[in-house]
Amino acid sequence: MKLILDSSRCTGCKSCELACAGFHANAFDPGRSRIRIVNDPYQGESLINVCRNCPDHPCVSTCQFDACTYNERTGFVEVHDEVCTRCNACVAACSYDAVFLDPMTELPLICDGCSGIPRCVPFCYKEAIRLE
Amino acid sequence: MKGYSGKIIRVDLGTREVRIEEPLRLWYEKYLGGKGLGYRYLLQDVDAKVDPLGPDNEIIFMNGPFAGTIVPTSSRLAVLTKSPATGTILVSLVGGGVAAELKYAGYDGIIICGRAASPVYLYVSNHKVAIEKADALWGKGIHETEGWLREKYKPEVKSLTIGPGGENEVLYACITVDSYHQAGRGGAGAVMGSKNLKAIVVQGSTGVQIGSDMKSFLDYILDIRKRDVLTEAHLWTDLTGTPGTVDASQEIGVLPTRNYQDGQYEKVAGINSDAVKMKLKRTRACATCPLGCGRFTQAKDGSLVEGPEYETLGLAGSNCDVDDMDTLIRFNKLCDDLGLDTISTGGVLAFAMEATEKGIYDFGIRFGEGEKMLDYVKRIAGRQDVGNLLAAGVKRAAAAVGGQDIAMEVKGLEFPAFDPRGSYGMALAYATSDRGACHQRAFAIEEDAFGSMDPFTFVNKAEVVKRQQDYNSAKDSLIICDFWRPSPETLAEIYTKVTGWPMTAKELKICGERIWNMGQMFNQGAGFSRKDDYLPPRVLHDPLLNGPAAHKTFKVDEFTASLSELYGMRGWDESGKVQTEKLKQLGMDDGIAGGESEL
Repeated sequence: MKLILDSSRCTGCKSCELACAGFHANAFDPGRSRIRIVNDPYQGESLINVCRNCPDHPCVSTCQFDACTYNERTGFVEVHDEVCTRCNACVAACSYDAVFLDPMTELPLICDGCSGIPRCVPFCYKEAIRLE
Repeated sequence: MKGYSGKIIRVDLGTREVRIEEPLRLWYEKYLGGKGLGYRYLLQDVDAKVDPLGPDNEIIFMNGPFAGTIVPTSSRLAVLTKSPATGTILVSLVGGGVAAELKYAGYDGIIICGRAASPVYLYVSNHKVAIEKADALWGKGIHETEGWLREKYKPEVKSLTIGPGGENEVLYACITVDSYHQAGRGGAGAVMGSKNLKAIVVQGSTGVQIGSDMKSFLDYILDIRKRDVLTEAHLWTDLTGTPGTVDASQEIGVLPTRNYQDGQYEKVAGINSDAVKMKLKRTRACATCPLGCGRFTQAKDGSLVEGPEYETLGLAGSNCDVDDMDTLIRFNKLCDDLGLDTISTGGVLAFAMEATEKGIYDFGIRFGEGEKMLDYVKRIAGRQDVGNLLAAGVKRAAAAVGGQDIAMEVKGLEFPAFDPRGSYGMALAYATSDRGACHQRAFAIEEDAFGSMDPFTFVNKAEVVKRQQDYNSAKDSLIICDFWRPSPETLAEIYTKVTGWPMTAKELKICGERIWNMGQMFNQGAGFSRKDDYLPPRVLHDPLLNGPAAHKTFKVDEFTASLSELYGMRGWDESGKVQTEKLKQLGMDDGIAGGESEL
């Protein structure tokens, strides 16, 4: 499973960020979202940034503590908060800058596909984010 | 507290004092937020007779409980003050992303009074609230100012900014969010300018909690979006955006043409949604909005703008007889950069064009002079030569040089782009709006000329106008965009889930009526009465030339009777005065009217 992104379709409404933060952090807090939209209001453009689910998962292979694993069932990467040492190796390993840090816990935020049913997808009416 | 943040920033720019205040829960429950809470503070803090451009006037930025949540179309902020254009109470709502950001910074609102000794901007970032120097920004356009702020803070920083129009206290200067979103009407930008306040910068990093189970709420909102928002009735937002209204208004004969001399424009093909589509680059949305009505267009010279919207196309297009889309895009961008309301600017220019052509006063500009129109926009923003006269708006310009018969305004606010001679519901709405000629307090045209009621009668229009004024007062307090009109039951349900405080549709309707009455009380205090609920002479005496309303004599007697009917429904006397009995009924016998304090 993989999120397919098309930033040219994104209207910048950021509903995906709120759905993600609501589901994972129990608050409408975009800073704790695992998907980020960077808007340029002057040019009217948006960039979607979220885990691309790379085939080789460098965030997984770089983690020395098995805190970052690939879940075969869901098809997404998972962070195991209880064993994460906050070393930030996964942040550095991501070539898309798609591993964010939770400002409250300082734990890495990586899209886990909401355990297989990504909540951002149905909120994106323009289908700029799709699940394949 | 859920939904709300429970905190408000108070700033005195004169003394540089900043403090944080916690509004009473009772105030949240009675006035909801946004318009209602802002009106309550204005009634408490400001003498209704205050000079709008003096230091004692306040400018208030107020959130609703839904801002920052995933409730559709809820990222809108209410800007409130006493209007320098009308002298009435003023609320103007702005979209973009600033409302959500202010909530994430931890605040429901900002109340500003006083006047800074030199240009400043206010910086709000979570617990930090600071007054910063803005000398280097004074005189700069909005787009350059926003660029400077994005560079200094972060690319995604949110701000409320004025341009030279606001600095020079043009009476219809606006306040801008995200480059192209404005608190447009009534001159709130001039109030910021009078306080030497160039901008408010907002950054936040706290989340919004809600008063119900989050996962169920997300499912609930998805369901609401499916059955109530992304429906056929709202398809227009995606297909055409507001420019689609050009052809609709043309068909029913309410498209302002050459300063409202006509209601149909023979060159409509140059300004309608098809013409906009030729220039379309992409569509955009405000935060949390699934409708996404925003449209980026680009002119031949490269000018890129989010717009033009219907009102701009009507006022600067047909009303000024300019049918060149490139010129209209450039007009839109220029007004946005200089910080001028495109509705009033278009209205003022059309007035100047007709006054010149009719020999009333030589403003030096005639209908159809698109390039010159752009030059005049700059003159207005800079108050240069005739621009100084026009910067005061149609009512004051006519009082100075003549042309009252062709001045299209109510209470000093220029007409929007729906000619009320083709919708008597709209005529009553313009006359009785709390901020002058406004189409957003009661959009009665959707029930008569665009709906099933006879547009050429005032029969039953008082009921429509009152119902919509009250409903919109509640909605503008919660705050939800004009383009989504959920039932009071749905609004109450969402409120209950977001705040955790029970609310019924009936209570919400009472809140709406209470808030409308607060506006009337402020305006009464400022000296307004029935005599100010007028329509301009052209509406009363000059029939339109084309379209369904052509050659119809306006029913002046029916209009007068419908005013009385509306006052009666509101429990006001014949002069429009709010009666004690009504105050009691609405739970307003608590200090608002100068009696004992509800504290």
